[in-house]
Amino acid sequence: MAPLDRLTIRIREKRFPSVGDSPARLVLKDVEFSAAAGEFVAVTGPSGCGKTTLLNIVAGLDNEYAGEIGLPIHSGETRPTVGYVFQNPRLLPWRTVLENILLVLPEGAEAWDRARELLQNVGLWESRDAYPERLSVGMSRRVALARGFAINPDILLMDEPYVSLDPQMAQRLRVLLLDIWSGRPTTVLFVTHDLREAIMLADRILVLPREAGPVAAEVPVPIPRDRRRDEVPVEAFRRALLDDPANGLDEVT
Amino acid sequence: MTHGRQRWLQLASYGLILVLWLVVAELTGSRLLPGPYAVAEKLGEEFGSGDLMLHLGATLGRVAASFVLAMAVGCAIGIAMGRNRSVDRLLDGWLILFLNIPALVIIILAYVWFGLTEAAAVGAVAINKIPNVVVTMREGARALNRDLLEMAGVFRMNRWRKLRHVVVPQLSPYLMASTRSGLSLIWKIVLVVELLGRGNGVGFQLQMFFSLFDIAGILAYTVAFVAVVLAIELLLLQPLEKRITRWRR
Repeated sequence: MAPLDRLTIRIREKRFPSVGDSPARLVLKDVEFSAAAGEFVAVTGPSGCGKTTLLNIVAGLDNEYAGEIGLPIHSGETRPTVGYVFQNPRLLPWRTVLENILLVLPEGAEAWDRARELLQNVGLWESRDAYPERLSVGMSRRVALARGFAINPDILLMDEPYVSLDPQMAQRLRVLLLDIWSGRPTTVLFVTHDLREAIMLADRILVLPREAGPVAAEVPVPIPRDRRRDEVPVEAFRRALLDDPANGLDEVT
Repeated sequence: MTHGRQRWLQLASYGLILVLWLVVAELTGSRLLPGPYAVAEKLGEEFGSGDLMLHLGATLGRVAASFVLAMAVGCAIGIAMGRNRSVDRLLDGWLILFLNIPALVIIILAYVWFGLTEAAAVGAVAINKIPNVVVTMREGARALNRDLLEMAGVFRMNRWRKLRHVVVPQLSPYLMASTRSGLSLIWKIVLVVELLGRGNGVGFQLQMFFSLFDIAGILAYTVAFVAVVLAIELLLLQPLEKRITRWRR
């Protein structure tokens, strides 16, 4: 395979087969888009529109679909590395914070340095020997973030990682995400139903339609990155997006 | 309740058994229920002559061999059945069959078909235990957390890491349960195997004491074996369990 630096997604169709009494369901249809190397793309849309399914397909967790996925890849590598920050942190509860990071890295002294660097980045080096069940919710999500970046991913998938956190905590974690990402840019596919979050983080926002179908809207975020932490321009842009019926965003907050 | 008080209660519980035994033995005064002192004396005698260690050693060796064999085969089959529906369907009938064959039948058939050999003895015991391990480990494998397996897949953990850090920790409560029920079941069956077709071991000795109506001998070997099992529980299993559950809040 030739080295690719773009993420290209062409899903012709994804169905969930019928299980028991529930009928088969068409989840994704003709979803096509691509992302440049180092681009931060937010995917939004009404709940149940297949956002998580899309990420699982990109991650290779779901192979039962029709279409092609081209992942970005470092030159010289044979397979792309994929980082995934799940909605729940999915840490191994029986391994310490540090072990949770080390276990996704190749063995060796480099791994240790890398784990330390990432844990310092998220402010958890002091808690490296703690077990995940003893961490607060926010700390667990920071570990998951560190793990996602630790493998130096060609693409980082994030599935509503800050849902159900209190607003201040969520905001702190978004700032942290941007800090780390700007230091080691990688292609990010970030699923969220929170339009403010998408505007704050992304270079470009994709909207998936309620009924399975092609991407309903594709909106670049024009606000310069140094003004994203300010609520006023973010809120103004959000209103503008919601007011334009072409975006099909009425259902999304 | 404090830890010290709990310890004390535990000791009191053991003491009570001893006192009860002593009282009943004194009251009946029968040769058929020797008291703790007579049994201790017999135990000393058997230990002194070297017989105790010889037979206890032979039995423990068989227990260990059967246990390792049963756990290895049982885990492999149980995990395969828990993870793969076709394998589950294919082997389910066999499982029910083997769960319900009486231990004695398996032992007799093993001796008849394969001769009065060590391998037949150990194999027969293992076959008796394997179905129980399979049932427990199948439950464990079915309960494996899919989210964590997916995580391990996306982050491309290799097979060994996945097994050691993702799968085995989740199976460990089931492994502990199999181990506990396994040891107690296996050593009982080993005695039967020895009684029927071996020239040494605790089971062989018990048969000899039975024919001599030497109840003190029977109790002495029982006490010795229970002490060994208790030591395994206290010195091996409990510390191990404590270690593997230390992450729990």
